[in-house]
Amino acid sequence: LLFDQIINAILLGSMYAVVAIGFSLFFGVLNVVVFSCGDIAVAGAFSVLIMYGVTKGMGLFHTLPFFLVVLIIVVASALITGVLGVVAYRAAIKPFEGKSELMPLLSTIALGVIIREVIGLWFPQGRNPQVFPNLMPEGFLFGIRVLSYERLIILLITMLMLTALFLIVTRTRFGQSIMAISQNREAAIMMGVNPGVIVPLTFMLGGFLLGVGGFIIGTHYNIVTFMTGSMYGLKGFSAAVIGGLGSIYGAIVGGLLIAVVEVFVAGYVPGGAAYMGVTAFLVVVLFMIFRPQGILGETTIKKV
Amino acid sequence: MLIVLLIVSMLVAGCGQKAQTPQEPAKELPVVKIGFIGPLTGPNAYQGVGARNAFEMAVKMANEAGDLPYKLETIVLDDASDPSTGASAALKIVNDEAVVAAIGHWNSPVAMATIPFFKAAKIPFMIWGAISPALTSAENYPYSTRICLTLIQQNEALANFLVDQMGYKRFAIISDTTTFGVTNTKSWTSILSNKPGTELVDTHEIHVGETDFRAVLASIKAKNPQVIYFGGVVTEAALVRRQMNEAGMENVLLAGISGMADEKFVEVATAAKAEGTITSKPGRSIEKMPLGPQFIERYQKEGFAEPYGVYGPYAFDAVNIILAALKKVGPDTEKLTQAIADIEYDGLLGKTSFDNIGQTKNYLVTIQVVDDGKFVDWEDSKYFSGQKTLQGK
Repeated sequence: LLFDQIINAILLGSMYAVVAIGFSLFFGVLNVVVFSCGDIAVAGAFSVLIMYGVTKGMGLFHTLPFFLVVLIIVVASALITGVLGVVAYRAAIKPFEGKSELMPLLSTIALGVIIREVIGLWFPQGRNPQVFPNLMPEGFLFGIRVLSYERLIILLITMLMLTALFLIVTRTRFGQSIMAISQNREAAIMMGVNPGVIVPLTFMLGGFLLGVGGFIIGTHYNIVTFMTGSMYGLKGFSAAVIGGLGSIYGAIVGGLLIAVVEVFVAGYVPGGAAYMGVTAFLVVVLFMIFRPQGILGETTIKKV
Repeated sequence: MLIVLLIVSMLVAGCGQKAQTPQEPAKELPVVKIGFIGPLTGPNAYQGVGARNAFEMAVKMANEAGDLPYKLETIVLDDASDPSTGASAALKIVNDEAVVAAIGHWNSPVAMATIPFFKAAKIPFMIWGAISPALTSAENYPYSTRICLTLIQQNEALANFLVDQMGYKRFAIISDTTTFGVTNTKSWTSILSNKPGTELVDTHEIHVGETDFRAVLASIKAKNPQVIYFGGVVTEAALVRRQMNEAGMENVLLAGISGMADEKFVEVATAAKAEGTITSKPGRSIEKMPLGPQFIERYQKEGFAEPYGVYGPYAFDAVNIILAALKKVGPDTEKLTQAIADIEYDGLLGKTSFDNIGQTKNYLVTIQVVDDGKFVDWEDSKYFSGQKTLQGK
């Protein structure tokens, strides 16, 4: 039972982590909290639904190998959210550059509402829960129930996304430019980094990752609802804060911590399932009081 | 200045009214409106649209038949399963002078919010799908009547079937935290405590809109129940069924009352996993009622995109009861209210009449089981004939 619950927690943690890395990435570059991350992820899940319909309509499932079609679907829908990321930047963040940091906070919340409502209004029956297509192989590893292939692949994709993101940020020129901008914008410009290119690209990358995140969330729950974006946004943001905003590994740690709290409250406290949300946010509050920089965050020293 | 403005505006308004009256042609039948409120969007829309279609169809049929000296019109409003949306819809309906009666609701909390409006406006209101026992009461009588069964009546029938007929003993309860869920937990707990030999091994509450019940299910699994009673609605029920199988509880039965009985349940849970799920349904299956085939044929002819669902027939009869009363006493709402409360109506659902708090006396409950991806009456299923065996047996 304990083993089952640990696996449950890890999976749930991955759901939060994929949204949390969006927060961390954007915060890392611009010191701005982009509150529409959860909605972008849900938009990703809905893009998967659309692409699934398109590929099915084109009959690709008959002509190409199954996993290749799935790959096409996921990449295509992640590209859609990548573009959405850029749009989010153009519409809700760039106009407020150099102004109060509170502006993008509000404008990205507003953007999240817009994304949510557009899905709800324009997607056929968009306000109702949508059944998510099963795009994963059936079966279990070693015949163990909780280790279904679906779950393992979800974990694998999460790991892959995080590692790829880590490598991009630390090993590539693009990543170095992101870091440079986040550390010192003026100096970065002087060194030949063009924020006009790098920042939108970062949003493209973030949107892409969130899109894959949406695919993972949809696959794990077999159902997507247009409204859940705000919930994932809040949990993802909390995970990012607990882990340390701006830290990619912090996002995973934070996501796991929230998930562990939720799963164990629901699983081991009698009648606890009704209180798991409360407990999770209680942990967030405690962290904000006692360790505001998060688990892996650097201590913010204000120079006077 | 202000007074002058006021007078002018009053004069203008007055003129407007006067100007409109003579334009109405004398030959036209007087318009009488009937209101409908139900969840047409949101998580329970499946339940609402079927009822809405049946409602529209009933009114259309009455207009076609033409045996009423009125032109019937409808006002259809969405409550989105949300009490405040429902309240504003109710307000809109009672403020329409032409409205003589309304039917509505699948969600009890929404009905709770709207009934006071109808009561205050003295407009008869009939519930077609909300099943909290509290909705019909001496205070709300005769303005609020209900054509469907309460959840207690449904739970009792379900428990009788599972315990007395099938011999299940070990139960766990998962309900949502809404009034519906809490009342279900209460009623199921008390029913089980009155059934010797049964055991309630675990009780859990979940939130509507949550998607992850794996932790709860893993802890229930350790207690080894034969049946999980689910006191909630379609989407969560389907996710619970899916995640039960994921957690290795294929051999545990899932059962619940009509709140989760909908084709959408099978769609979300997938046919293979939904197999064997037991639900109770108020009334008898429409196909088996004398007027059923007629209703179904007409419904298909109308070409609605959505199935009539569990509550379509209820909405259909609700309208027809109102129309029968209207025929008897005319559009005076006071008289109409009393006529509805006193009615003896023989319709699609069989004989309907209301008790002294406005609750239907038509007590039929049908047990259904998911058999090959469809909700099938127990007596017609492969489980009854012995070709299949229920889980936990």
